[in-house]
Amino acid sequence: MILDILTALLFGFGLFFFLAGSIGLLRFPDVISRLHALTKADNVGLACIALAVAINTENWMISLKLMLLWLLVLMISSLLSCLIAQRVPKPQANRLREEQC
Amino acid sequence: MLAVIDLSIATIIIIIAAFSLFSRKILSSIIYFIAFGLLVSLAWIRLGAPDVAIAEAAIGAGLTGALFLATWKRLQRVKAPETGEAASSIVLPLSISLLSLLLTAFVVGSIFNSVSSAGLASLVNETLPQSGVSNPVTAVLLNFRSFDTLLEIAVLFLTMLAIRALAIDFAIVQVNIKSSIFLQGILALVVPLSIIAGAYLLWIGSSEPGGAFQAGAIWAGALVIMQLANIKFLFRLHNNGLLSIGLGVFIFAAIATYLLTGSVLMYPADQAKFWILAIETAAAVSIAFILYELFCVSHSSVETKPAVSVAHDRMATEGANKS
Repeated sequence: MILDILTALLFGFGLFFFLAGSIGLLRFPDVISRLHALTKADNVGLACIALAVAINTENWMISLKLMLLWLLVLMISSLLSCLIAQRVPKPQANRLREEQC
Repeated sequence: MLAVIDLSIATIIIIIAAFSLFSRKILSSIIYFIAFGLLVSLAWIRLGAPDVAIAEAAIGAGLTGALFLATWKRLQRVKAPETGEAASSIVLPLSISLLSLLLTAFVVGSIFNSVSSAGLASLVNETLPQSGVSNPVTAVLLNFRSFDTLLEIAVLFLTMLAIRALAIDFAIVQVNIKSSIFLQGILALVVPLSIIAGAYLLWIGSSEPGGAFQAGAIWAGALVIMQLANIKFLFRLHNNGLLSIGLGVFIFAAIATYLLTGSVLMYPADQAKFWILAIETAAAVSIAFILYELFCVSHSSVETKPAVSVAHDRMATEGANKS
């Protein structure tokens, strides 16, 4: 019972973050903001969903694998964000940085 | 009675196709094309394939027709700005959407009447041992309905050709990447790992969820990462051989199986797994490189976007401030 509630909650959180990330990806105006939105989906959304599945498996090895997969996705998404952000044209990046300060 | 209907549908399809191809006005070509799509979906229903009929009505007639009409409208605007098309611009889409709705209702109705769509799962499970693989999805994709998959790969290949023809330039602009130990370390870990993960998915596809499309997608991701990180390759990546090997091997397998067993893509007994794996491997390679090619094309064309409106700028700063 408690497990079910926890699972539903985690799934709900995960889906919410995926939804928010997707909307951000579609609606934000430039590359850097879009990356910012995507990281939320990758990190928190996937973490919640992987956790929700992991606490429902019989075999703890599968749970461990799920967590490792999440770590892998974290690594790849940070790598990709870093690579894509470096390709943003300089003026745009500079403007954003100035406005942020 | 039914034979007469079938024969007339077939005849009308050919006539409409000829009209669509040979009519002088672009607009009438488009309208004939839409009619052609709807008639073909009728033919699919008569062939007992309501699922294909829905796809044909929605994509072939509906979506493609709408795209053609949008293109036609744009062409009109480019050619002559003042052609009073006010009347037809409302009537035409309306009549088309009405017709599409009617036919969709007809197709959906016919699904509920059709017997064959009731449940193929038991049939698949019964014949699974003969298919050479133990994953039902792979068995359907590459054995029972392998012709469909052949066409899917062909469609992917054609998409790549069309986009290549439209692209002005598909060389990604080289940017100097700030290299760091962090970046190098993660790259050295992630790229080999994704290549292995793709290979694993390809291999596991015969017994568990996985297969050529998933493997190809992961390999394409690895290629994209390497491209973005300016990693030099041993060979030129826009390689026509790699792009077409999937379709080539599939077609070769179709011909070879026809010669061996007398029927297209009917694998010789007890060799099914070998054929399926060979086709899947080639297909996965092609899928990876085609997806990568699509990435390169889209990336090179959207690189400069001059007009950014004031509202967008404001949103950008808001987004940045929140972080």
